[in-house]
Amino acid sequence: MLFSSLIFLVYFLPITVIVYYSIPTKRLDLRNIWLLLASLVFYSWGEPVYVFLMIYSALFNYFMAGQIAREKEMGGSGKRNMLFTLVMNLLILGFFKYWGFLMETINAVLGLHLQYTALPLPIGISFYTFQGLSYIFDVYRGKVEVQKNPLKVALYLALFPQLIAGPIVNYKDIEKQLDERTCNMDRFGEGAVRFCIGLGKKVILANNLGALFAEICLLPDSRMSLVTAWIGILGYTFQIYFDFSGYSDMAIGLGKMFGFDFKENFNYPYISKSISDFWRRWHISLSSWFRDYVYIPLGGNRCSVPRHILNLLIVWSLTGLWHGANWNFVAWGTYFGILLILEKYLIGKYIEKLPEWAKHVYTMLIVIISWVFFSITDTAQMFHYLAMMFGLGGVSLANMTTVYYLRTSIVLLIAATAGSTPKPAEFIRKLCDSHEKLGITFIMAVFVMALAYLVFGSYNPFLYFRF
Amino acid sequence: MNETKNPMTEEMNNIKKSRDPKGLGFFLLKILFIAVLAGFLFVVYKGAEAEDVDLAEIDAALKADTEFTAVLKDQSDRDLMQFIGLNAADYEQVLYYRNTQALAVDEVLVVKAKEGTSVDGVETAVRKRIESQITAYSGYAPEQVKMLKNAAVKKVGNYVIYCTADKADKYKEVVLDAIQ
Repeated sequence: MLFSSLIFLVYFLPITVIVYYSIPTKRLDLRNIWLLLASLVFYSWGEPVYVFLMIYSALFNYFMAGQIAREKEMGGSGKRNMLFTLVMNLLILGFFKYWGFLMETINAVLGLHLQYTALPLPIGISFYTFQGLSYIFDVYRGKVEVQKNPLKVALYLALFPQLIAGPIVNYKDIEKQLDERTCNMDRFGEGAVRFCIGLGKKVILANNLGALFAEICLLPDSRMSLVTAWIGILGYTFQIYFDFSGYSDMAIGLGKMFGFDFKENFNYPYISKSISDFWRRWHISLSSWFRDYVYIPLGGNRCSVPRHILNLLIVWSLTGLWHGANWNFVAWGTYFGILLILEKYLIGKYIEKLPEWAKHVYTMLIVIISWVFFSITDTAQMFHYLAMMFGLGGVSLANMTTVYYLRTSIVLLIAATAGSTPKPAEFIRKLCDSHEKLGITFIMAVFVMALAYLVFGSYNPFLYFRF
Repeated sequence: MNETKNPMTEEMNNIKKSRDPKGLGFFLLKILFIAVLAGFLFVVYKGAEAEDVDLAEIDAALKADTEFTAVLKDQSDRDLMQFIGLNAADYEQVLYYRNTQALAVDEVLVVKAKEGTSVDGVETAVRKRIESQITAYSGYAPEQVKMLKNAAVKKVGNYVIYCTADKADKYKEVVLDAIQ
């Protein structure tokens, strides 16, 4: 089930909210059970079989965390059990997500024709596997108490607001909220507003921007031009931001509606002034996960320069691979790894001296190019698109198709540019504070408009089917 | 004085032993977890087994074993986007035929997802297409609505099959025969 689907908005969410708030505040245990049941229904909507995997993962991590904690209490290190749990979790993720990729690579490299079946990916498996591992690692390191109640571990992993597109919630951030959290009308209202804004970002902006990019990708070379190629990739640049940050807004908003506080996942990444700055603002929960559980254990930056460079390359290749089982994602991650190394050791000091606008142009240029690697999985097509963007594909600078796309999408692109800065959010906040009724009317209008798009529009892509 | 063995104490010792992380009980629990996972993965893998078939072969099988080309026309990637809301570039291969006559709802869609990707989005898009078609035809075209309500949607491995037609199940079977 997707947040941006009518079944979720019209049936699932209202029923879940009504039953949740019908349970007395004091019975948080019952509220948790209800949320867990709702989350399992939410998860099983598309593929009922994989709900078993979710339950298995919860039980397995619950038992293993218990054993690691017990072993530590008895004077042991718990390392072997931690490694066993890590291997099992990665085995599950690898089997579903990377088996086909591995076999395809083996066949290609060795010239073999081994038969295999690439399984459909259980939705959100990368998110809940990483959440499970964060719990295990934190228990192993003694940063959190082991959870005695298996239902709470299951709720932590399966909680539907952040299940399919994040943010990745670390157990230490939610541990206390499983036992005690505040649910009141103020927080519910705040969450509902955040949810509506996220829905608007996804349905009104991201879907239309995605349709623009998809349309341009389908154009024959004879109708393409350099400027059209840039319009297309700008469409995707904004699509992925509004789609992903919209989903995060919806997740954070839904969390608040049920009394949870999730950390922010995006902080206006497109106003960044360097690549390092961009990655402090983009998909923050994933960057933090890799920093805490891979980069720092590898030695981080407290080591020799060659080792630090190796650490960065490992982390960024893995970050790329996390986004999808394909070499283009590895290339995308490594591209950022190399740029971060260059910023750190070579060009960072020069970038610092640039005027603010130049820093911004530099960052956006690199980010926009990266989305070509990310969005087009076929290597030949990817390089062909890049060539067109830089006038190397034998295409004209602009043509009538360019004029058509400029005329039809300029408003959307301007709205997207404005929306990726903090100004509109500040405006909405001020509006809600100073003119409450006007603010509510505005939010309601966004919600109704998003619903109308969902009812009458046909293009509603789900970008996270690879995650 | 010889101590007699207290059965309760012995049982408690056994329980304590079984809760010992290095003990046999825990070892067996780990084996159980591995066995359950292996069993599940085997069942899922066998259930998802679908041959890696080029959609051109399925196209040929449909043309040979059914009469669908008489009414259905091959649709472009743009049509796929317009009517189903799917971007063909996101998938390995797509086969999409539709009856383009006014008031016709017949269509056949076969999507082969890229390896390592989920087909859930395809199924969601197909279900939405059926719902929107039912909404559009409700009230004045009962035959079409009936046909839409009997539409065949099937997910097998990395394929999704969708047919709205008089003989929707026949089309589905032809595709299934080709990939399984």
